[in-house]
Amino acid sequence: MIASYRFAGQDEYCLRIDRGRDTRILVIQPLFEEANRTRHMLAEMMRALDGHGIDSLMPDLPGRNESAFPQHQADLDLWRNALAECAEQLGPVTHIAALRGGALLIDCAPQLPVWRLAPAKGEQLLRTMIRARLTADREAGKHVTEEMLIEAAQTGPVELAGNLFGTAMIDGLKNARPEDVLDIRRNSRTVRNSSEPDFVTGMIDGKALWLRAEPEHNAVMSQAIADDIAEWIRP
Amino acid sequence: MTRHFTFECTGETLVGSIDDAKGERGLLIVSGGNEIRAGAFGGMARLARDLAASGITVMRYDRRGIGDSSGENSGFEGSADDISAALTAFRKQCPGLREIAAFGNCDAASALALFAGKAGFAALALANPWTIETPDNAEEGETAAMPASAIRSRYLAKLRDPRELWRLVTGGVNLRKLVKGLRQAAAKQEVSGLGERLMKALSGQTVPVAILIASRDRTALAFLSIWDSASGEAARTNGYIMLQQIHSASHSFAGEDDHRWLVEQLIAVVHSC
Amino acid sequence: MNQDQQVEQVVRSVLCDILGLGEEQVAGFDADTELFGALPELDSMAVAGLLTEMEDRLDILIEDDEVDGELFENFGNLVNFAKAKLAA
Repeated sequence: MIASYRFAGQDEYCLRIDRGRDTRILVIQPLFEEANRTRHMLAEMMRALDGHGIDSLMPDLPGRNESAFPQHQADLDLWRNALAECAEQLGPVTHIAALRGGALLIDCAPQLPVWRLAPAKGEQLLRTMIRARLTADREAGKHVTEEMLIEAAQTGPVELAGNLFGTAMIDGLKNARPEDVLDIRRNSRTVRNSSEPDFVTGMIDGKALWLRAEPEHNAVMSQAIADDIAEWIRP
Repeated sequence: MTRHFTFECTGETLVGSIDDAKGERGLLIVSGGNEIRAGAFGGMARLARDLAASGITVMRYDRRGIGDSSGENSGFEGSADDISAALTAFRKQCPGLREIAAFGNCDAASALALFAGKAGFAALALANPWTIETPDNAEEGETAAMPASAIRSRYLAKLRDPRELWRLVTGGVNLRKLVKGLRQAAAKQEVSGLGERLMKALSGQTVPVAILIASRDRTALAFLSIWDSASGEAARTNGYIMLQQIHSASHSFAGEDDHRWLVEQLIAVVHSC
Repeated sequence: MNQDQQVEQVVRSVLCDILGLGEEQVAGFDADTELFGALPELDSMAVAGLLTEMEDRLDILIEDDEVDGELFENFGNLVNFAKAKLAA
């Protein structure tokens, strides 16, 4: 259940269910605090995949969760490299499953079939974190604007919603869109969750867990994701 | 280097993480709310590394139904078995430790106050203990409608006007005045069942207990109103208990100064074992 | 469903997701339903998430200076704000 992969001279944590089977999914979590909120749901999802006879890996990204890698030195490209390293060391990986901002990193293994739930634009994620920072600053009586934060990031790490950001991450997020990293020829399935007003090719029953104020569980979503992935892999 | 492992609790598989240090004392961190063991913003992972750097071995874990662990989440009220199992696992993983203390924030502090006696810690650090009763509004066939966080704030809404709250956020309110008013309002609250149980549990502690308070945190203010009331007298006069306050509104000791203060307090508690 | 009803539905849906409430509960929200007392412990992340989701699902832009205490006072204010944004 507990594995590790080597990246930038450090061991990084990777949750794993591996029984040496043929199908192995690399799970790319949502980014930043959305990962905390969906952590248990995804761990249970991996156990449900296990029930379908499917192995899975869910690595920590450098600077996230258990990682001691300096947060502000991470950017989207570094994360793609880390995912590729993890797949190389703990694979072979046959499919990718990505949620929310995780969908921005699926080009870590561009040749693999990819399953995506509610892909999120980098700009949207960044906007929420900047807003949270501005709201918190106003609560403390400080006058800060978005422009000031972006400028500050040029010369040193900036804290947004509890995470440290370097300018490369901020720029990367501003410009990252899920469709830009999904080659049209790639075998893919995209689903949205049932609170979305519109959907593409499928709908997963369950609320947007990643928007809550604190981590919660959704057992229905765990099972629904695993079932949908299993069905997609072996229709 | 942090090391990770699994351990058993009532047949479920829990995951723990340990930062080893050379000393003979350890600290078990019990997570609050539904937070994963690394903590919101990786705060607990960082705290553990900081404490280990000062010679204290630290363990954190996901209780049942949280993070990487299996099983059902029974909240802080149902976490007694998880706390015991974690302490057992800690001793097994680190047989060289002489004394093990425990730290919890918010409802984890309450859980430790209520259940730690059975487990056998050498000292306790309880930060901003949670005393707010979840309203029993479950009707037949329904489960509690609101998540804990929404319930918390509904309670808080009784204490003050919503517009006031927003003026606070946008900087239009004198914080000191608001806090004074809050404390007065809170003092008039009926002491809940949970508050009573907590005071009783605290009055019976026979190991060093440090109650760590962020003096402008709303949860801490609610605790203080009970601590200061008649219900809190036996706890207040228990010589094992010391109250330490930092002048801050941060419930989770975010921010450099708060973090540094918390680390100092925890080191002191561990060395009081 | 006309556009006004659609906007209302989207706002209900976002609140559902952010607050973790059941659909039946949120369906019961009317113009006077107080939001502030029901929002999760004043959490800058939750408020930020709510605003960004409304922007994304309604395809509107919310400036920081448009957000004040009145906006979150009740369900009606939030919905009216969203409708006004779409009409602009």
